[in-house]
Amino acid sequence: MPDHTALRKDLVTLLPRLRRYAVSLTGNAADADDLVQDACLRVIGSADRWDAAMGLDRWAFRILRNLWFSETRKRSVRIGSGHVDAAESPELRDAATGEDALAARQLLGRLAALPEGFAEVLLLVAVEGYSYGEAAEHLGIPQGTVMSRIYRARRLLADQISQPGEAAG
Amino acid sequence: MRVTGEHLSALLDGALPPAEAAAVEAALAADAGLRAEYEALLGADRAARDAFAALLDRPVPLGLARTVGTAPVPQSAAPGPRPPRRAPAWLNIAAGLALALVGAGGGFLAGRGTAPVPARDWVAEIADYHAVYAAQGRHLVEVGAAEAAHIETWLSEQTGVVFRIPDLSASGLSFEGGRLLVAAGKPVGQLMYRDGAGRVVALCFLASALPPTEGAAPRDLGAFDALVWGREGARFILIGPEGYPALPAIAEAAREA
Repeated sequence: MPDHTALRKDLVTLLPRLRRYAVSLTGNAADADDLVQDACLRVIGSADRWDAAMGLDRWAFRILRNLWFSETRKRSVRIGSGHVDAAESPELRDAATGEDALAARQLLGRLAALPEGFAEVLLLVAVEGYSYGEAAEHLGIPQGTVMSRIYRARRLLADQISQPGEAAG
Repeated sequence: MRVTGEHLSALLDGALPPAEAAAVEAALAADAGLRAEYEALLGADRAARDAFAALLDRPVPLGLARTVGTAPVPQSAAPGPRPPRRAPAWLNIAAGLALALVGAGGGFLAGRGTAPVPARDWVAEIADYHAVYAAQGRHLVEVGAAEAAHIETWLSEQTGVVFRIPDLSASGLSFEGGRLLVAAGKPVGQLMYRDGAGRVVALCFLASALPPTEGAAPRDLGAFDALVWGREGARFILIGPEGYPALPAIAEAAREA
């Protein structure tokens, strides 16, 4: 069995982005890291089914998401942790250090407090560079829903930013 | 057309067809209320990006990096009957991957791919660490350069290697701080330096009973170049980006420190 050394190294360099995407799904850092680890092992285990036309990052994102909805999420719900507010997660609270720590922390709390799926679609499109069509395919939802979710995510964040007293962080 | 918030948000993403985008822009120019809404959405978008960027700065847990880097893949992680084996796809994706890595902020890591990989030893483990830590922005080090004296005491005690932090400023490197790692089951001291372009060079050391070496021997670690040498009671490795021209001179300066 090949050891996939080069693939593993590439996955290691992708870890910060995979962890960030996982947090947008799980809402808490501990579940996110478990999910990332399982997903990476799955990527390695299914390397020969990877279509090179799809970047490793997107292939790994897809596997990670499928895993979250097919297995990890069920397990988390079973053991009772479920969807935890990321603002309650010590690692997320400590994610940002330095002078802009408070603002970043508040924003992370606000992102985590968005309705499920909103932070994910915002991350994919606004940060990871997915087109609406690519995001729709990745999420298995119509393109119009992508458009409306992103708008509503921004709208909710804009409301919260204009009312700083309501900060979730 | 009636311009909605969804249109404004999609305009921000460049997701509208050209004719629709032009119509929305015209409406924006004519309507102060729409402009205010667009600014609000833009502000929210900027804030969200900043928050997501902060998430990227979190240090990657070493256990996770090591599992992904080296742990055996359980059978359950390779499900189902496999289709006939083709050429491993990852051999062919260097270009796409390079783009992805540049996007991740790992600029100088982008050249990694299918380079020869040495047998696993402490040097290879250091390379794994370097792949993780050199990509860090704010969390490059555990203890910052401001506490240089503490770093010398702390890492000397932990590793059993008495050392001085080399001043490599003549080679254009500024000392950023240090970390304690574990490789081959031993504590390893890691001193991090950065050059003017933000590239990271690390000097690592661990206690060793091996005899001193005459000079520094180069090691090809794929995406990184390294030089390894030994002095009485210790082994050192200097590791930096692939093709980093000053590495031999820096190693010389470090050995003399």
